[in-house]
Amino acid sequence: MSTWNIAYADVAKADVVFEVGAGGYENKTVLFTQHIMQHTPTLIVQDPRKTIDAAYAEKHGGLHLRVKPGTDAVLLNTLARIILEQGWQDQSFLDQSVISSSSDIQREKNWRRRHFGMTLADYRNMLQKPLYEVANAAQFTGVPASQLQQVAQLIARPNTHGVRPKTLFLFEKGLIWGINYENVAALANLALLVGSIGREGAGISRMGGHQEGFASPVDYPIERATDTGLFGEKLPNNIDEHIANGEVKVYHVIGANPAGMTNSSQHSRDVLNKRLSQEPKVTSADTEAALAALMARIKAGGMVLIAQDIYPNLTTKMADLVFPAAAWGEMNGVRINGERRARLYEQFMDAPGQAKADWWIIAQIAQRMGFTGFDWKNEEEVFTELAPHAQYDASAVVQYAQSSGKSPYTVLQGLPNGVQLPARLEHGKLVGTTRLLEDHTFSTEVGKAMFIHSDWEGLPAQIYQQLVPKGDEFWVLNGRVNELWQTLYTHQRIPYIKQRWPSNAVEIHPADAKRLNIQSGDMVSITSDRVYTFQEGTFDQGSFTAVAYISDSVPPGVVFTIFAYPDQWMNSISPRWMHPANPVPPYKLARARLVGKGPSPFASQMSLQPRNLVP
Amino acid sequence: APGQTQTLTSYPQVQIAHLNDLHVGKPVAFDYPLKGQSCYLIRLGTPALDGVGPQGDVVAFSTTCVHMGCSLADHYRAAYNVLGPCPCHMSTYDLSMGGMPTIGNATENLPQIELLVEQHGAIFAQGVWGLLYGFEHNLTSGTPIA
Repeated sequence: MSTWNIAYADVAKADVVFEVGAGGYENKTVLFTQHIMQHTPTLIVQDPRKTIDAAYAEKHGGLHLRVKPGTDAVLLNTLARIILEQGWQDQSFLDQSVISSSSDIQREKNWRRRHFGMTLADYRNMLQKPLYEVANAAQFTGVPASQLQQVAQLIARPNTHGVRPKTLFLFEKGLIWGINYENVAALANLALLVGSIGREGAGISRMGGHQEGFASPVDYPIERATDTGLFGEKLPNNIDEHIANGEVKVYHVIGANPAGMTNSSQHSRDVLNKRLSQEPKVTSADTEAALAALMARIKAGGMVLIAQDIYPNLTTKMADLVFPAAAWGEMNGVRINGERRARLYEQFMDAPGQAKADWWIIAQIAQRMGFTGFDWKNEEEVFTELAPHAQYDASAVVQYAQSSGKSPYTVLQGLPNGVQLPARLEHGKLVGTTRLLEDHTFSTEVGKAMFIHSDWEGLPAQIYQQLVPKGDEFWVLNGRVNELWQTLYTHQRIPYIKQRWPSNAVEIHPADAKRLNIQSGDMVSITSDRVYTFQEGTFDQGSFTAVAYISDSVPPGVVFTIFAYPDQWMNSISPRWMHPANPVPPYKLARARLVGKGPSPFASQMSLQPRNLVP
Repeated sequence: APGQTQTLTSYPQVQIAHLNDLHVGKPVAFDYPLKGQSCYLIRLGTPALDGVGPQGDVVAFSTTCVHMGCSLADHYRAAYNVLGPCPCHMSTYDLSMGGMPTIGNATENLPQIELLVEQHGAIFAQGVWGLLYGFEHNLTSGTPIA
């Protein structure tokens, strides 16, 4: 199913909104304040932290499921088991729209689907394991059995007239960047079980937190990948590992800051420094001489780093070449929001200095490399070419423009509220798509939906054992705070915001703080010599600092920190591991020891009052 | 009507309460410096930035959220020294830290009222730090309170 298949209006129509690892207020504020708060569906929040959303849910008749870090799949599978035991599943949807025969699964071309696909009978069998008995699951996940029963009832039990509740499932990185594949599969299975897909007020979608490009970058050709998955199938290459192995000659980074923010980034910084410090060094400002030195370094087995960004960051500082890029507003661009609504964001000022739009920089490189077809004159030509290939088809915008004698951008200029992709032409009019999958036709060979293997036993249990804190270690969770947009790329440069957040912070439970003799506002070092790596038994080291923010929003044994605070990089300690099925790293499941370093100068500059007070 | 509005050229010094009137956790409402510019005078019980009185714990703030102008009156939380969360979008202000937002969309501090305590305990308002929400000018956009 598609990542973004609901409409925001579905929040208003939902009876229940079930938020998993999303932190709606911090990350998707308008959806939370304008849709959830205005319409007050019964809100269920699954999160190890008592986030604003969780506090709001508790205060307004909903529930907070304070799941132990990493155990989400067990919780979600258990809800499914309760629903099946009670007979609350959407049987007519399952009968009509979900694969029931193993041979239909074996017809799938994608190896993941063949291997992980399940029929309802398979799913039912999987859920019979003792771990998914409600009492066992309660013990394992830390969520009381009574809450599990209550949630199953809220999301699935038909009323006395047989009408099913409309349940909207919204998830984000707390689920995705945990033990995923199985995490997201478990939630998607639950949504299928209760028929929450392609229906008004009911569905399953990422909650989101930033806009997306209307078209995604093309994947690296999988046939050229050298990494392999569980069964020898090819996986997208893990760039960090290939750099560490000395296999990368030129590393061109666009709009990202891996030196600070890749997983286990302290290790990655060491690797980058090593690879980039190989002789010869650039010692001349003369372009030809500098390029000759870089070429010589590549020939000698070294690496050249090119960084392309709108601001200087740690990666641009380490780079041999920097391409300054234009930001939004300095060029035109089409983007989509969390309900696939595409809008034109027009240029209103020139880019500073030599900064150029990313598409222009890429086109220049491609042309110099001898590729044809990179001769666009402006952003609109890029849009026109990409429209039919976008994640959600935008070709109707181009067709409508042609039929009405306008340019595609002129059409979008006339649509200040944009159009929800995929778009189509109906009687000569441009029409968007409110929600996807309303016809319950899915992308499998037989057009039906498919359960996906989401069992804890096997890989999830093994990786959990590798990641779980031991002795005096804490789980170190991470995420955003509302006031600091994304990676702080702009906000770290705005004096007022920098004054509010002069340092990274770490939420520590009062009991843990007391035991470690850490006071509110103290500087804390968060250090691990057990940063998990691919090779069993070998560990990286990593460390960062943050100001103690003492709060019972985290449970004992768990701390929370800002995911992207510059130069106090949380990812210095995040696990260097990827699930072989997708591959996605468990960024959210780091572990470390905490040591108080005494009072920080920031204690008198920052507000350290609780964040999760709600109206 | 235009022409009839009396405007101010400087902040008036206005007595708003007496120290003896103040009890921890019980805000006193007042308008300053113009009618409709609603404020709270609060004794926090713990020392505060720019707090007055013997314990330095008496502060006054606008009760209009600087994010989008919703009223923060009745949203004082004594246990945490905060005004908020705002019922509209949850901006919350730390009254011990000069009105710095603890959380939320506000991109400036909640305006703080400059106070003076004279030796017998009378508390005067005598200035505003920050622009009050909804006003082009704190002094000249309406009717003075006195």
